[in-house]
Amino acid sequence: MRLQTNSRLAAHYHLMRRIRTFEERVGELFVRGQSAGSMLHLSIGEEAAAVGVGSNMRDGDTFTTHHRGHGVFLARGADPRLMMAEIAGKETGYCSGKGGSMHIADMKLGHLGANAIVGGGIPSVVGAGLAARHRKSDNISVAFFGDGATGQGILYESMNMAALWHLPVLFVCINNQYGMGTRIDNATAAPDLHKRAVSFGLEGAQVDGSDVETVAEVAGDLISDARSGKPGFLVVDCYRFYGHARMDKSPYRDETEEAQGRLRDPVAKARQTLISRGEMNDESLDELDRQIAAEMDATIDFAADAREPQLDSIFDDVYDPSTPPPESVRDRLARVLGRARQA
Amino acid sequence: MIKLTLPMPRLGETMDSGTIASWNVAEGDSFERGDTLLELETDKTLVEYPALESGRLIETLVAEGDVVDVGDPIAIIESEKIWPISGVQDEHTSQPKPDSPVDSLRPEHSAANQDTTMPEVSSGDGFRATPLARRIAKLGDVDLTILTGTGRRHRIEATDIIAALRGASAAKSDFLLLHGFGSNAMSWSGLIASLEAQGAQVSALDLPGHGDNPEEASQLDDLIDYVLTYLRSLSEKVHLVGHSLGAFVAAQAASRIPDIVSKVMLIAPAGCGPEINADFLRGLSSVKDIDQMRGLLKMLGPNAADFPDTVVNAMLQELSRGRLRALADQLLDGSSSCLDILPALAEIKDRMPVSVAIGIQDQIIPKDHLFRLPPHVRIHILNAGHVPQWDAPAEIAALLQNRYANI
Ligand SMILES: Cc1ncc(C[n+]2csc(CCOP(=O)(O)OP(=O)(O)O)c2C)c(N)n1
Ligand SMILES: [Mg+2]
Repeated sequence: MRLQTNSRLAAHYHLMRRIRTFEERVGELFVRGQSAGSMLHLSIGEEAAAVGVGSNMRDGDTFTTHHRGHGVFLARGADPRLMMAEIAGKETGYCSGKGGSMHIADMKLGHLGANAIVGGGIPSVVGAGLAARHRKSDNISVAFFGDGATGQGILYESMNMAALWHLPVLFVCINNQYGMGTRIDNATAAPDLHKRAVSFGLEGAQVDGSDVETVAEVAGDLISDARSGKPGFLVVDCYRFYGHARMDKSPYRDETEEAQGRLRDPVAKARQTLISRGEMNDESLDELDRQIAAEMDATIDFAADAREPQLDSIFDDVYDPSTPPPESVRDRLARVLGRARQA
Repeated sequence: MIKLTLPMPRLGETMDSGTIASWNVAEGDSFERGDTLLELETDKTLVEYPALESGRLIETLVAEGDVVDVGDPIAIIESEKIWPISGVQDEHTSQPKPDSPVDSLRPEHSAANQDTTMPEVSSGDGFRATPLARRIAKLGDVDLTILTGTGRRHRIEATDIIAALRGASAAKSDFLLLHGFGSNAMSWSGLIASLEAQGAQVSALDLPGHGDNPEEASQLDDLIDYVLTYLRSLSEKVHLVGHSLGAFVAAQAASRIPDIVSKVMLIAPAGCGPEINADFLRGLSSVKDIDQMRGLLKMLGPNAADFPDTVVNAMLQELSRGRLRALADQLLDGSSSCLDILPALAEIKDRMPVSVAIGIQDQIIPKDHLFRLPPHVRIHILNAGHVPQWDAPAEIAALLQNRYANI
């Protein structure tokens, strides 16, 4: 599938539409009863965060995501078939079907792991940033997390260390206004989250998550600063279009609020802008959407056709074969005591 | 376009039934892939069921507020393609698609495995109980959360519920209603409403082999034993009301434990003579399509002949499962009825008042059977078919409430 235009916005639209359609298919996978587990968190409405930031990252950059990370991984070049297979718990998935939606990872693409623990992926990027600097590479590491994670102490420890050591790190808070059933204004008295980062010595910014171009521009600046050792914190302000997980219709939300929130649609906005600028027209966009729908339909077939992981593979991929096995306690004691005796 | 029957989906691992919260598409309306067809409540959450393909909703088979088991039919739709979820049936073949990807993929999700004898259910509400226990608890209004089960790992079993019902003064009904062959407790809904409006407490059972009762009925005794178990759980006397085969069951039960029965009302009772519309009985036990179902309903009386499609379809869905074949064979000897209600009526003669209501247009059991009834039985003759509670509901309610002062 090739875009017929060189427009950057068209490329963003393409990627955002792929994410949206993929997420819709994930929803269908669940209704079909084919997903491994029913906690499926869709990032519909948050595509601009994934694409705006992801498109400014390069090969070798690493990242972690929260439990709502399908979009980010796709924006970093994931093969949607392998993702769908993983979400279905199939052998052909990114983690051989052992991780599922919330533990997907792929070192080749720099994905250090989705994480089901709120805030759990944040400290890893500080380590990855430190590693990048040790290797004298110009790679960065990006943590994607939700507004809920701003209630976790580990975020502040991580920001402090990144600022103190001038690490090539970007913290991206996808503020979709809700942590499960709690709206942000019920969770904090100071909802200007980016201001907190400033007090830790980071660069902080907030952008409108319905406008992918702005997100990309601001993220681009923060990322180039991060590459030169000035870590940043970006809040992408958006709205969670659907329930917390596929199992939640969010009856606790006001219907007018939902209707208003869903108007903040980055995919629809990009489409309108492309048309108004004459970069693409309805026909070419519809044709693109159709191709994407076909691509994503195929991911479900790909997942359905694959086997579940076989029992004899239960210990595969659990330990990294390139690292030597851990020393036994007995050997370690002998070594430490032996050295002490020599001294 | 193909016509499909949609089953209740399993939306979440722990879900085994759900409540229809709302239908979001109206009958006859079209929908697009991804549109929310309905919302359902399960495990204390509200979930949307999006359409997997575009199509049109022909008919809903369940109503808002209904509790539906996973795999049971909820709607008939028209769609371009068969939907890739287990249990979807193509109306033409009326067979689950054997090549449906899900069935081969995840056999534990297939409707065929929704066996009601599944050992246990822990449906997110924190305690473990067998499906049968849950159903009896619902009937008897027993609070499962305060019970400790005697089953494996404290699972609540049916016997625990019955013990609880017996022990507590909880179970009390003024009327206990027993439906006829091929029917279910829902058939009493009109009568229940008018009795309850007068302040009465009314219970209606689904007999084994019928309705939501997971127990099968291979013989007549299964029905009688079930009613006896229920009667034994009651703390106070009850006015027993039976229709047709249910009337026969009521008379048997009353003769076995007369102490718990205050009065008996037999509506169009079976067993007063060998003549019976055997084609009707056999038809009910083997009905396959809607035309046949309508033909059978016509025999029941003027009211049943005009049932809307939704009702007829729901009956068809229930009966076409073939649960009643063995029972029908037991009840019939060739084209004659094997039942004899008269010995039981003789036994309860001095124990309780017995009345009988008969419709003069009954096409299932000849009305002349009333001449065989013993003299201690009060007989009411109504302008109705085989189901007077449908054709003459006000009269039946009035009779039950003794509102005719002179009799
Ligand atoms: C440490 C921890 N506490 C609680 C949870 C339960 N939980 C899962 S997601 C979630 C809400 C997270 O909200 P947010 O960070 O805003 O992300 P969103 O779901 O909105 O994308 C919570 C509380 C958890 N997974 N981990
Ligand atoms: Mg959130």
